[in-house]
Order: sequence, then C-alpha cells, then structure tokens
Amino acid sequence: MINGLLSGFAGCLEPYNLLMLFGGTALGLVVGALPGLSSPMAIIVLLPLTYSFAPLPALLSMMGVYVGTKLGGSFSAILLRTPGTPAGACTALDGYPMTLRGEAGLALGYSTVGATIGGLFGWLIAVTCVPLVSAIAMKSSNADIALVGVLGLVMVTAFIRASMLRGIIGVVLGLLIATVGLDPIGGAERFTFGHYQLLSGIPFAAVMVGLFGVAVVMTDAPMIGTVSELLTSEVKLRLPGLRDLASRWQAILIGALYGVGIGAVPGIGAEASPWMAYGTVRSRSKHPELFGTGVPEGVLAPEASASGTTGGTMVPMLTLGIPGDSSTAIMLGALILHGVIPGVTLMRDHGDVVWGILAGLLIATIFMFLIAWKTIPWFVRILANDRGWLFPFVLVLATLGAFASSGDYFPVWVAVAFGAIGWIFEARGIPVVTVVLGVILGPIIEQNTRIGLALAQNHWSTFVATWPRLGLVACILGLVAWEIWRSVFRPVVRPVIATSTVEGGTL
Amino acid sequence: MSESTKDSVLAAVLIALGAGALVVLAHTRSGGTNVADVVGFATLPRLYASLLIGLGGLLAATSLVKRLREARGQSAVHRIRSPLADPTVLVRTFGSIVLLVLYVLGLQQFAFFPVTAIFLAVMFFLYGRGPIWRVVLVAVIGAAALDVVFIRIIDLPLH
Repeated sequence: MINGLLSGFAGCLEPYNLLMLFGGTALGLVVGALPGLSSPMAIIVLLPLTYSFAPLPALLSMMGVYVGTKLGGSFSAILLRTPGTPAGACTALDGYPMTLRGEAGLALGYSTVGATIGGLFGWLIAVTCVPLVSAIAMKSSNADIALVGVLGLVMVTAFIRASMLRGIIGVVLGLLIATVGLDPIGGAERFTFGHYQLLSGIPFAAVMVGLFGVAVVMTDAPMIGTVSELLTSEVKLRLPGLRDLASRWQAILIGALYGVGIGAVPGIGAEASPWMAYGTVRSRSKHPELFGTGVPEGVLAPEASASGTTGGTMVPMLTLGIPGDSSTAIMLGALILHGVIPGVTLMRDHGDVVWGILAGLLIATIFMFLIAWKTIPWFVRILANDRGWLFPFVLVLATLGAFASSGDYFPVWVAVAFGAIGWIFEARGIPVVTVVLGVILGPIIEQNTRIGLALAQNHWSTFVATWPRLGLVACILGLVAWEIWRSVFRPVVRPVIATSTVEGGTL
Repeated sequence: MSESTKDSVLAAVLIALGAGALVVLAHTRSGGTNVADVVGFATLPRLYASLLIGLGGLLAATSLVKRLREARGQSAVHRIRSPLADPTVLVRTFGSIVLLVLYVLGLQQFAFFPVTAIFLAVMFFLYGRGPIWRVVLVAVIGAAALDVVFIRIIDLPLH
C-alpha cells in the first residue's frame, strides 16, 4: 500500500499532472460558487478537453473539479444565501447569519477549514479502505458481484430523496437502456434496429453529457437573469484559531464521518450527508436553539461532511466500479473512454491509475484550501455574474464532448435526445442519477448473473450458497421491505405544480 | 395540464415503451446462445420491460387516485407555480433545445467558427443578454477561443 501510494504521489507531482490538478481544483471552486452550475456539468465539459490526454492527467483534472466544487458551493451560500451546490444549502443556515453580523470572512474561514479537514479524513478512509475492499472484491465470484450490483440499485432507490416509485422507474429505465446493443454472452443484437452504431450500446459518455449537460441547462432556464445580491463585496477570508477549532472537534468529526459513510452509498452523493450531519450536531448541542443564528458548528459540520464524501465515493468507484454520485459516474465514463475498464480488476490491471487518483485526492484537497485562502476576493467578483452568459458555452462544450467520445455525430444526437429526456425526467420527479446507475450497473448485473448461473449449472441456489451471499441477499430483502413499509406508512408528498398561481392549500 | 394528467401521460409512455420492447424482443433472433441457459439474451430485457409496464400501471393508478382525491377536495397539496407558466421561460427552455439541434446540423455542414459564433450570439439573445455589441463581442471571441482549442490544437475531426 505504501509503495503504491508513493508511486501515486510520484505520478501526481509531475509538473503537467500537478497543473491539471491545480487547474481542475480552481475550476471546481468557481463552478461550485456559481449557482446553477454543478460538478457533473463541469466534469462533462472537461471531457472534450481531456480526451487526448493520458488517463491519469484527465482523471486528475476531473478530481480537482470534484473536490473544488465541494467548498465552492459554500461561498455563495455564505455571501448570497444562494448555495452554489445542493450540499451548500445547509451551510447557508448559519453561514449567512454570520455574514449579516459582519463575520463573512470568518464564516468563509470555518467553511474552508471544515471542508479541508473533512476532505483529509475522507482521503484517509479511502486510502485505507480501497486496497482492502479491492482485495476482497478480487476474490469475489460472479454471483457475489451480481448481488453487490443489485444491492447498489436497491440502495439508491431506498435512500434517494424522491418517491420510491419514481426511483424504481428510473432504475428500470436505466437497466432497459443498458440492454441496447450486442448481448455480452451470446452476441444477439438487442434493440439495435439494424443500426451499427448501436451494436456496442447507447454511447455512455453521450448519455452523461445529455443528462448532466444539456438537461441541466434546460432545467435551470428559469434561473437565467437572476443575480443574487451580494451582501458585501469587501471580503477577506479569516481562518479560525487552532483552539477555536479544537473546541469544536466533535462537529468536524461527525460531519466527516457522515460524509464518508454516505458517500460510499451509491447514488446519494453529497446532498443528504450535510443535512444529516447538521441535524446530529444540533441535537447533540447544549444550545440547539442557537443553530440557524450563526453558530460556527453549523458551518463546520456540513462542510466537513460534503468534502468527506469525496473519499467515501472513491471506495465503491475504484473497487467495484459502482459510482457514489453523478460526478463519479461521469469519471467512470471518462475511465472507459481512456481504455481503463473500471470494476473489481481495476486495482490489479491499472494500479498506477488508482493510486494516482488517490494521491490526487489529497493534493486537490490541499490546493482547495490554498486557493480558497488566497483568492476569495476574486470569487466574490465571479459571483456577480449571470449564468445566461455561461450556459451557451456549456452547450457548445457538451456538444464537443459528445462528439469527441467517438469522433462522429451519432453520440451528439444521443446527447441531445437524452438532454430532452433528462429534462422530462427531472420535471416528473424521476431522479436522473437512478437512470445513470441503472445504465452502469445493468451490464455488471447481467453478465455476472449469467456467468454465475452457468458456472453453477443453472442452479439459482448459488446466490445463497455462501455466508457473504446470504448476507447480501438479506440486505437486499431488508431494504426492499423497509422501502415498502416506508411507502405504505410514510409516503413522500411531492409538491403539485399547478399552471395557475398559488391556489392555497397546505402540505 | 394538471400534475395527475402529466403522470397519466408518463404512465402511458412507460407502458407503451415496455410493450414495444417486448414486441421487439419477440422478433429478435438469438446469436447462438446456449439454449440450456436459464437466463438467455432476452430474459433480463423482458423482465425490465415487464417491470416497466407494471410500474407504468402503478403510476397510472396513483395518478388516478390523486385526481379523484383532488376532485373531492380531500388532498392537502401545496401548489406552486410552474416555471413554464412564464412565457419567457417556456421560450428559453424549448428554444435552447431547438437551437442546439440547429447548431449540430450546422456543424455537420459548415465550419466550426461561424456556426458557433452565430449559435452563441443567438443563445445570448434568447437568454436576454445585452447590449448587442457585448453579445457579438463575447460570441466572436468565445467562438474563436473554442476554435483555437478544439479545432487547431486538439484537432477534432468535425468534418
């Protein structure tokens, strides 16, 4: 492990790779700070730029963006009360009141330090767990991997913040989309309709570009023309003292633990963990009534949590090929584009890339701290810009990204189609991340199920033949039972969108 | 269109998609898969298509229940204004995808720089950016920068 990590650092510290990390992190901070832009969108627009790069620098630039957006979202949350990322919404609860008190610099300092410590904690967990889980995964049989894939899908429908029915619809649609192309075992043509471009399936990169590039521009069209008013433009980041931080260690630790734990669960990402961390820290506080009035713990916990997810998501992504969130789903697509096949053999076949990504995670976290510490006034100016100038460029870059994936226009049309489809899904409450996970895990589940059955002479009992498999099946059935109980006894109430103005009525 | 009607339309689409997938699979020939396999090339796609039909039916049923409750005034719902009720937002949302389609068609026929500059300028106008000189300046400089990076340096074979 030490040798692998050292070689990872050696790779990252090459000047070109270091530049990619630095540039990616700076871009991530900018993107995270701007409401309406997201980490998946920024990673998508990097696809065409990095297509000709070697795998490691390409992934390092995306890693930098991924890490940078975690902190960037808090800048607008604290200064504008408009979070740049969904995870930053929690930071606004106490960060903005601190700004109102004239403590904007200190609030930004707490968020920067909280995010850095959370990111470092997440890195430690990732570096420890990735080799361990990878070693276990390498010894897994096809039946084990198939069950892990099914568990991943069940988890995303269980924990997603949407109705269970719509979550399952998204997953099933993704699974069906993934069956397009040649049958991986027998070679039958499924849903190709005679088009050779569909023989290898619907282009994954194009699907990502459509869902996270084009669809987001369409979904965020109502926000064009709105520029939140900066409460203050005179901001200088003020780092809290060591004693101050030490006295609030519990908030940071709770946040980081939530971040790493939730980050490792497929499909949930960083959105839920800051709120869970905030709620726990508030309930454990001696003065919970002060939360929401500008308490530093209310900034430290969610920021540590949001950044901690970067380490958590690395564990399933690098060991099993299962993404923890939308950004890592796109990074998996980038790996495939560069000829690096994710999955249980990634550590064995491309250990240099894995260790490079892990080393890059640490360096990006350090860059995030340094860039935020020294360049906050620049970000304040950027926050005044309207996304109406940025979205057209996003569409151009998304088009080029889809084209670059295979060098012809078919993926571009796929991206446009999935852009429209993604917009419809979001409008109807079907989370696109469920579709993405279905697309990614579908082939893994199918291939391993069929091979596992073939090896067991078509006996289905192979899926419960060992204690680990029994445990996985028990988890799957338990989650399904919990989902059914939740939907019957605690249904999610979605707001009803009416075409007329507010008609009254309450939730 | 009410929410429950939109859900009903979505349900109908899902059922049609699932049914269509089953029909296509029924006419698909195997590629030499071992017929002794319990899970063949069409097993899982059929399962997913059937699930989709079932889920579409469930969605239709829940939207019907919701509509009946609304008709009786029994549901406690929080109604918020749809962003698409604003004509400007409607034009921007659908205009974006229409312009994107035209942009891709244009890229296939003409050079990158002029097509991109025109696309950017029209998009800026669609999004209400101004004044004109600033729109044209940003569009031209932006398209030129993208042309240098992606066509001259990276050498994307757009034609």
